[in-house]
Amino acid sequence: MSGNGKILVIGGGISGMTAAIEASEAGCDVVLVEKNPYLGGRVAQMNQYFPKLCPPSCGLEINLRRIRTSPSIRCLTTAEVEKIAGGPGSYQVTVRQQPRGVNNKCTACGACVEACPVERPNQYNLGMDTTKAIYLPFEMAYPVQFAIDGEACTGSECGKCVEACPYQAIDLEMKAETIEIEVQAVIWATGWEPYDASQIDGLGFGTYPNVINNLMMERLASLDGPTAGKIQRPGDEKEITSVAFVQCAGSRDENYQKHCSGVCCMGSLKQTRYVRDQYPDAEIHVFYIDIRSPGRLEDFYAAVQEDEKVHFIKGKAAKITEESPGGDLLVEAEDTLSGRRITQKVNLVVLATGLVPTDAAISIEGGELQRDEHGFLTADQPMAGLLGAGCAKRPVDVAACVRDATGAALKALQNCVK
Amino acid sequence: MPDPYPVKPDREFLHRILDEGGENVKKCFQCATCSVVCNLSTGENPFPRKEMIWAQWGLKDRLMADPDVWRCHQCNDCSTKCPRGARPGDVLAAIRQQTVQHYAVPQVLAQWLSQVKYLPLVLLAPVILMAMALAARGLLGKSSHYGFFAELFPHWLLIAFFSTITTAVAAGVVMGVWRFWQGMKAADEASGGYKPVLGLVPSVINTVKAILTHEKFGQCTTQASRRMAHLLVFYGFLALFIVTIWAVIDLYLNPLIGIKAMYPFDWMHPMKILANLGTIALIAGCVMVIRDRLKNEEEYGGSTLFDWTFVGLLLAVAVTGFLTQIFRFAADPHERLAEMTALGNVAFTVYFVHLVLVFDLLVYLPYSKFAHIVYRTVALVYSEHTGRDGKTAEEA
Repeated sequence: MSGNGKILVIGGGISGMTAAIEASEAGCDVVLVEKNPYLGGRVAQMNQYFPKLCPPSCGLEINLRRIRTSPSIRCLTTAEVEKIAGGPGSYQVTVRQQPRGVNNKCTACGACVEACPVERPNQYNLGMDTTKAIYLPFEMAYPVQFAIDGEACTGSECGKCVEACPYQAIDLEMKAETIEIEVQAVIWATGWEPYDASQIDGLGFGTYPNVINNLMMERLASLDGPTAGKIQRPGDEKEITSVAFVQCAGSRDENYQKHCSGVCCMGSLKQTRYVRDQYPDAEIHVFYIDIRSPGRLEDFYAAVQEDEKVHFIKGKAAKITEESPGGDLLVEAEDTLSGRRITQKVNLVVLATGLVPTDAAISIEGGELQRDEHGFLTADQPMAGLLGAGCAKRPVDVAACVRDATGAALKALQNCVK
Repeated sequence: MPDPYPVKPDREFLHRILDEGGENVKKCFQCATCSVVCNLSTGENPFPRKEMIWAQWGLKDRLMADPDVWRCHQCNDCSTKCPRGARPGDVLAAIRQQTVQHYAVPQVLAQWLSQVKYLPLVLLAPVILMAMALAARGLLGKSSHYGFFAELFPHWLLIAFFSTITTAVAAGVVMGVWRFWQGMKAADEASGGYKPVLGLVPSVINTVKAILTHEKFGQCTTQASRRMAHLLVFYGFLALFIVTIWAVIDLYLNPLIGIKAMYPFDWMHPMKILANLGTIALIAGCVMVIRDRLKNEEEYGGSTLFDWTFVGLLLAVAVTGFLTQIFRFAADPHERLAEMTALGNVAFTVYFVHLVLVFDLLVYLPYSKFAHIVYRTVALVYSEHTGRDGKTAEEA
């Protein structure tokens, strides 16, 4: 105990990690609660950052080291906050930690994986491949510790992993735990989910295998992704010669999500680079209403516009059909600059789906969080000491999340010194 | 790219669009979802995205000369999928109303018909005219021998009265439509795009075929019921129109070539059967339209005075006509006007109302929604003629 108060940070993505680190380095105790078995959140799933096209693993590694070496951060993975009671200055928090099935004796040797007979869809790769029921979430995962998917694992009846583990690191009888904590402030860094594009009428996501979303594209392009970094069609594993990026898929739309997520334009511009790097001859078509590349990001947009292989079509792609089952796709739009209705045939469609604020079901005794009409937390919360940070507050890029989380850490600290 | 040209925004026009059915036009942010989800919007000339921005900018000239506005059958596929709730379907309907009023001759009648405050005048004027016609009958002599309703309105008077009006109305319609055609042609010529791909006669034939089958309606998805309702109204009206024409032929032309007039037809006369089937279709169709318009504004689109007066009038004409017929068969055809009972008075009142309503329908045709029958047809013919739906000369 440093004696400078204690805060809770909900969510171990880039915002939560930043808030936890900044607060701890200012001398505060921090409990960081993350529902996944690893830290890093959405950033851990990205291939490259815009506009510099550098890998997120770099910054993530630095932040993980700061967490690892901090004596004042208590990190609870596979855990979710259940209940918050009390009031400003003193919140009593109930955390429920699910059994990981693997203790900290684990060295990540992987002997258990060989032994495990059960496959599960790999959520880290958005279901595009599978892992065994006992798995390391990804290469760089922290804690460096395997985890067991409780829903897929058949339990002690099987027990093959227990026998295979040379370090007695696996405990199939591990029980869920309830942890009570008292804190002065809580930071909501609960992040976002990709909008469920299968809700969108006429774009074929979930029906046509070669229509994917932008996060799937990140995974396809990542070296630790389902294809080891090779961009190919999910339907038939073919290489691609043409791709369409569909901006505002389900965004800025009263029928789906009303808000603009602000980052999907830059995301798609960035992803055109992924395609060009792997397929120098591929034709890339970007269907947009208007490209949002604020500030210095405009330079990146201008650079992509210079690329003769990238064709910008000002008009929303409102209809996608499959030419043949599992085959090429026909994307329809009106090119509003020429006034013609066009049908573009492509191998792969990437829907630039927006960010939905994660709906963390946490009961708060004697109050509630204030959200805007889109579900994001408002900047000023009615209960002192309850704060939002990063994409829980508004859809923003990583740099903005880091700035916002740093600010949130300062506000949380103000609640500790009172 | 065409050369830059000065844009002439017409603010008054924009406000008319906003006030008369297109109140959401300014919400449009030009994403063009509408032009893609519409099954009638085609390759070279998609709509309604461009119409939305023209309306926002008050570019009346362009919209008044735009056949695409009339290629829309307002099924609202666009309005239900619009991400902004700008309701392009409703905006196009408002533009069509403005087009009818823009080309109408004389203009003042168009103004009367579009505003609630003139409604009493619009309804009362025909009553007065009709009463004057009745008064004229008193001066001009006794009735003929064609049964019971002729007691009130001798057929010669009826036909003289309505023929005069129909001719005047037809002249107004022809003038309006001629200006409309010239407007569309001038706009295409200005942009260098007036290139007919199909002769006028085949264009008319194609259009009539499309109208008879309601083929375009069939391509709308949001409102499948709209096609059926419109088919019923259309064929109901067509049947009654044929019967009316035949009645005049029977009464005045057949005797000239030695065929005895059959009018008034009895129950089992083929024309009477056609008339009754037509009336039932017309009433059923109108009821469907009214039901849909009341039930689901979200999917069906907003309804303006322009819409309500037209469908209301059609229904009223059909109902009063049907009642009039019942009275005719209920009464003794040899009874004279002077001996009429209470039933007779009711019957004559209904008949009088029916005639006033028919008068309304006819005389207000060039200024009411009824005019879509000519403007849409002409716009569709023009579209066929100029290959607007993307057909080349060979394909056409």
